Amino acid sequence: MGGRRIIYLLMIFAVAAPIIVGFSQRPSRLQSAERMYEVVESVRIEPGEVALVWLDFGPNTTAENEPQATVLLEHLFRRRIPVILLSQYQQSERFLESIPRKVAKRLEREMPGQHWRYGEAWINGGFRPGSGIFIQSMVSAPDLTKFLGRDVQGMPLTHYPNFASLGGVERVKLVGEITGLVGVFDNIIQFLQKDGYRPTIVHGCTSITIPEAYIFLDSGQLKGLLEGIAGAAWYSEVIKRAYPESDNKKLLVTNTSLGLAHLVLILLIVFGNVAPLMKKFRRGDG
Amino acid sequence: MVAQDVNDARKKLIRVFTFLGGIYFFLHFLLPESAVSYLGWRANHEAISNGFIVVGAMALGLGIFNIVRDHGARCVFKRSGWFNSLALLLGLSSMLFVTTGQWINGQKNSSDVRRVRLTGEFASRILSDAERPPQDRAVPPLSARITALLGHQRAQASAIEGEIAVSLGPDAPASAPMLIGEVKSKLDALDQDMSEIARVPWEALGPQQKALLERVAQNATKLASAYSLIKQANHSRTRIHKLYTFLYDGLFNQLGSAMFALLGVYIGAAAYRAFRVRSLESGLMMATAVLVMLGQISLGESQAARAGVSLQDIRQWLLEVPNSAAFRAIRLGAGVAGLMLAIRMWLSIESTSFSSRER
Amino acid sequence: MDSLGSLNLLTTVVGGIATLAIFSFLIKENAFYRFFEHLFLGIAAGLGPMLIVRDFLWPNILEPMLGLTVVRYPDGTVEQPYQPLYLLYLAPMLFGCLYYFIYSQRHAWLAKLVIGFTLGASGALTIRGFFSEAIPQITGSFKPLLVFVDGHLSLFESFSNMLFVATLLLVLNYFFFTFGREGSLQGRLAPLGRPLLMVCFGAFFGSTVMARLALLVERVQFIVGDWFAAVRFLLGVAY
Repeated sequence: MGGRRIIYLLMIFAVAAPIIVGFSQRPSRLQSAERMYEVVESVRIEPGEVALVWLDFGPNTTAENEPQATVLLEHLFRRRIPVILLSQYQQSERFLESIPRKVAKRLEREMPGQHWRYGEAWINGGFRPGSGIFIQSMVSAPDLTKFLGRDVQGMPLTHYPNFASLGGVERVKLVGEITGLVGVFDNIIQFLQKDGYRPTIVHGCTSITIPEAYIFLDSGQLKGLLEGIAGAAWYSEVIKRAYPESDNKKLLVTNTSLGLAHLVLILLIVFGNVAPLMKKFRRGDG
Repeated sequence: MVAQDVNDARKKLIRVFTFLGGIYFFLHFLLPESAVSYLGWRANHEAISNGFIVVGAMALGLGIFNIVRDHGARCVFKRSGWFNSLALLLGLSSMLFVTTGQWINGQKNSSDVRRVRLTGEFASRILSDAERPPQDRAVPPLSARITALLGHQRAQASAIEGEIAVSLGPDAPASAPMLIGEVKSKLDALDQDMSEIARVPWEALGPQQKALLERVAQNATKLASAYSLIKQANHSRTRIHKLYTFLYDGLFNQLGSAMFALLGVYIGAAAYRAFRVRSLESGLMMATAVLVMLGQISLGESQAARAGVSLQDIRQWLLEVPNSAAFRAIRLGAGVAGLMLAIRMWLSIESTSFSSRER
Repeated sequence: MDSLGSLNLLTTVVGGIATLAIFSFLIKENAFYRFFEHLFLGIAAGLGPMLIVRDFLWPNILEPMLGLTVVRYPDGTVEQPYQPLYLLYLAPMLFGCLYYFIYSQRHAWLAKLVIGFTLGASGALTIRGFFSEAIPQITGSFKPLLVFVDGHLSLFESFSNMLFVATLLLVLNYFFFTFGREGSLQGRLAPLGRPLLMVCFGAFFGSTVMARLALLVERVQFIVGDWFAAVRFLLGVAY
């Protein structure tokens, strides 16, 4: 029983050490995150065109999905691409409000005189129940402004000039889905398309669903992928290359801490396999 | 015998409803666009889809009813664990109360902003009706409409000024003075327009009147936008919003994350005690796992690079080639199985769950 | 300190206490853990219902049905007349209310009508969704077995594509039980799928580890960073 708790303490200490010391390393280069950066960077929008970002995560996957949502929104905001935020998952409700505000505040601090305001840079469309039914209905709608109707505060979308005359779903130039829920992601892949329209979809997934997401990357249904925290960390590094004032220190510390925990885990696996062999070997000697 | 007939009739009815539930989306997918338009489904697709969502949404009370019934009974009869049940009911009721309060606040804010915006919409409407008089409805005289416009704007101006006074309270955000400045300047612009409107004659619509109404429409929209920012800033300082932030950020988010964080600790214990390589296949699995893990961290990257090995590339290749292929095969197989199950469910061939034995 | 600052401090301190309560489970299951666990469940259950009302039922269904979306101008005229067709939404609303008959022993079969209806709808959507998802997957699997780069055969790319196609077919074959396998070619090839599946599961396990550890890292970062700072500030203020 005591041995189990020693391992618990070892894991917690391995995770805490880089955080306490503030040690961070350059993250591992992930090609999928670089591809996603290039995809977002190459999006060209006209007035009335937007990006649609789904935040579909709750406290159980915040650790990975929140940094992904933050870096994606940061990139979209820097490029001045208007964003509609939606969710198919009730527990994301607070993140739809808090994450863009945090990003906007950080950018305004970094670039005094410039503004990223609610209603101009983004709107919060809130939670939309119905999953696949809602999405396929949205795709068929001739006018997204009328279809989405109001934002989460009850204001009609016609109130916001950047979102007042959206037209059909063809005006959505980029779709981002940040989630750890496989069913929710499947709804986007399966229903957010129609004859003559296949959106550019990028995805921030939790590490559990990385192997599954790769099959969509291979088939071209996904154009970019953020693989857990490591993906978000590398994406933030790529953003920093283009915008050196961008601050990603906390994310790098988190990523480094994760790396150390990985090493400890690998050592535990090795010791766990070697230790019984050594015991057997010693018994054989004795 | 009669009971059996009634039972059979009910099962048939359930099968009919199950089939009806699926037939619309199935046909909408299968039929060409022209047929969908011809049937009138294209124009009404949104409303029909909303109808389906409404059916599911009406179940929102089921969970709450169950929780209140079970945990309420535990509290009332002081059964074992009643204190925890009380905590659960406390969490439930506070969250319901707070989300309802947020909603009511949001409704009030949006209706206040919409009343301000209405000034501009009304001005545009007056202009369009004067330029192209409608045939299908009666329209009051122009001068009466202008009087109504002036009265409406006066009421909104005093409401806005009241809101601004509150916005400069002791815990006002740093951006408050700037937002208030914007609102004041737009309000002044609109007030000037209104003063000019009051001076100008409105027996007929001339170029001066037309320009005034267009300016009012634009300025009212800008005022509404600036006013909505003040409203949002004030909303975040309300007690209800603070309570919601506390419940969500302080409790819900933290507790949920902590529960799942325990898994990180358990996986460490499992790594030492349970992940044993006992065969070639498990060794292959473990080797792949270790390579993938090493490839996604940066620690040890430089050492591996010196040895001429790129762990990231190895990981990338493992995920892109053997993993993707195997996962795709699994997913296609599962997809076909899911498809068959969906068809059987829709056609009620899998009907044993519905024709369960009578209690 | 302003009220928002006090709120942040309180949220952080309480959040840390809640986290430590859950972590106390690592030592032993205890009353402290159970209390916060139940509190979490209650809050989670209370989050959803009002969102459905706020973000869907009220703006899309009830408001138009009750005529509250009709814009009334200050002179008494309206933007658009009331649309009585919205009243048709009463039908699915009443139909959805049949769910509540599940609590009645005698009339529980009425709930099965609406459950069946919902299952039928989800079944039809599954049919549609399968083809939208699977067709690109299938077409994407037809990879060139010989890959030429700048006019030269790329051995590595060709090998990768061959391995991809072989893995796909062997794993599909491994799970194919429709026909009897004894003695057939299919039966002899089936065991080849296992090691390839092990590679897939190994990649899956390696990724899962990162997911689990990330959750732990985030919590420890909060405790060591934000929570300790908040507690130190509080104690400093108290002294």
